Amino acid sequence: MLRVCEVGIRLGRRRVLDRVSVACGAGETVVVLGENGAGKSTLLRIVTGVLAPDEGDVLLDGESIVGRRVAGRRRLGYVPEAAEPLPQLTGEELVALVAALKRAPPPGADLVDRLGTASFQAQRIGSMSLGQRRRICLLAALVGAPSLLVLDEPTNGLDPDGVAMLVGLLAEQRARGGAAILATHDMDFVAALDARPVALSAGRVVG
Amino acid sequence: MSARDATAALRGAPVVAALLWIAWLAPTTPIAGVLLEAPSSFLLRSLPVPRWHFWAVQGAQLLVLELPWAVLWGRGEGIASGMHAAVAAAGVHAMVIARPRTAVDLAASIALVASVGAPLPGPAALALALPAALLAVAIAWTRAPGRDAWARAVRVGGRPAVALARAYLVSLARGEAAALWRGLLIAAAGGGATALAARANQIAAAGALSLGISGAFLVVATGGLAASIARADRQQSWLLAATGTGPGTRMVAAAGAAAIGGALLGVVHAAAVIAIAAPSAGAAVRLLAGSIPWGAAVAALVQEVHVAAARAPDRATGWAVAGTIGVVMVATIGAATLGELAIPVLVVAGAVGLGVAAEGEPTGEP
Repeated sequence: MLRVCEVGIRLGRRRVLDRVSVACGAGETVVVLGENGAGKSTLLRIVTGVLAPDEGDVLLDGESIVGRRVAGRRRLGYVPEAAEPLPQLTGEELVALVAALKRAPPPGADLVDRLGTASFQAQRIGSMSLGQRRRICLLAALVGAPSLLVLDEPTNGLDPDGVAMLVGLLAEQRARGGAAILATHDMDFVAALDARPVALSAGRVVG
Repeated sequence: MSARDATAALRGAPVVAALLWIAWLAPTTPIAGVLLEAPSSFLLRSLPVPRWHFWAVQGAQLLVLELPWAVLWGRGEGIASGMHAAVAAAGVHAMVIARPRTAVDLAASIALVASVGAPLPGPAALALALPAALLAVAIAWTRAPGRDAWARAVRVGGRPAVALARAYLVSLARGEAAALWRGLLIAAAGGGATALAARANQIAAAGALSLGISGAFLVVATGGLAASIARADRQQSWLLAATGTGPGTRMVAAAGAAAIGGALLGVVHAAAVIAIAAPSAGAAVRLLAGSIPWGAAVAALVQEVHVAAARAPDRATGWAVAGTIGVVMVATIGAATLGELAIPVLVVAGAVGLGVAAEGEPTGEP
């Protein structure tokens, strides 16, 4: 499903990732662990195409999704750590935009109900709380039933019900043969997942 | 004309006076909005300070904003009239931003309008406007954190480039009203300059002259829109990268959104020329028909310049300025040498520029 091959990147003078290789198969969840500054978010940003690596490649279903090869990225869903899309759009406008960009149908009412976004999705994103923003971004990430979910600190701002809902969504992603790669410091959340840990330290895989 | 002559003339022409009030209030409303609704100031509300302290500060800020307007009326009719102009304008600004919704809001709004419209001496008008303005500032301050939370949904769908262009336009209209207002005023000023130049030189068919003059004005007017769209594009670059939205789609969407804004500014420019120069019906239609694609093409080119400049972050401002000057020169020289034939030439240049600008890979970094 996902193969990160010998990826390296330098941001400014610092080498943030040094020949990192990670794989995530169908029906698997990988949790990237590590101290602050270990390179977890940078790795996820390379996987999603937000950053281009200096070296190495990222393959999704055997197809490179690095640089200008963007079409394959429509099969992934991404929620970044900050989760700050255009603040002037409403939640439903953001979801409609993502559906149009992915050329996918908008999410069904059942998913909207499950994520609990119906009551605030007509609200502008800039006026939402962190937890509401994260739920809307998660809904947008799930548009088109992506084969790979990429979640950076997904429990930030979520209440306990939200975390439980997320655990359930990830279990369903596994059950339908999808993959997920996420970075988190929330060890209770990790314990609730059936996930394979990958440890990063100073930009290298250490376990 | 002295301030005294101007205010005396306005007293004799209520419609013109009303239009002048609107001409003052409309473009300054976005600035008043920034003063009253800065989200960074919301935190201050948690401080153990009486609320009237905040209202006093906000009122004082608004009065500073209204100072030029107050000076006109103060020099024309005396200090009480000047104070009334400032207080009434501040009150109207606060009420517009607060959006009247209760009976008290309505009563305060009526008092403010009556103080301006009724033939009252300065002190009486001030006495009528002052309590309403104080109330308006308090209401605007109280409602500021909750305002803009909800918005009427706009359909952001269709093909990827169309959906993205709609998102840029929604973002522009809701978040960058000041840039829009500035653009509209500059376009209208360009129209006024064109009409005056046509009149001074006794030019009946102002088409080519309009294109030549509007080239410079529209480039400046659309510059603010282009910068806003480029900002929106950068802000959601992570989303665009992660949804497989290529540089071509991004460029087409940005240029398309800018072109729609430019077409609108073209209409405003032409409307100003028509309103002042009063050409024949045929000439007016021709002027309008030319100004729309002209404004769209100018805006698309300016947007392309901004995108291309952003590729060199260290020198982006320099490249943007140089590119913008280039667009002014192309538009002005094109109109001077080709007349109205310059319109299709500029449209083709915009399309070619689109292809060139879409070639590069924009960075995914916000």
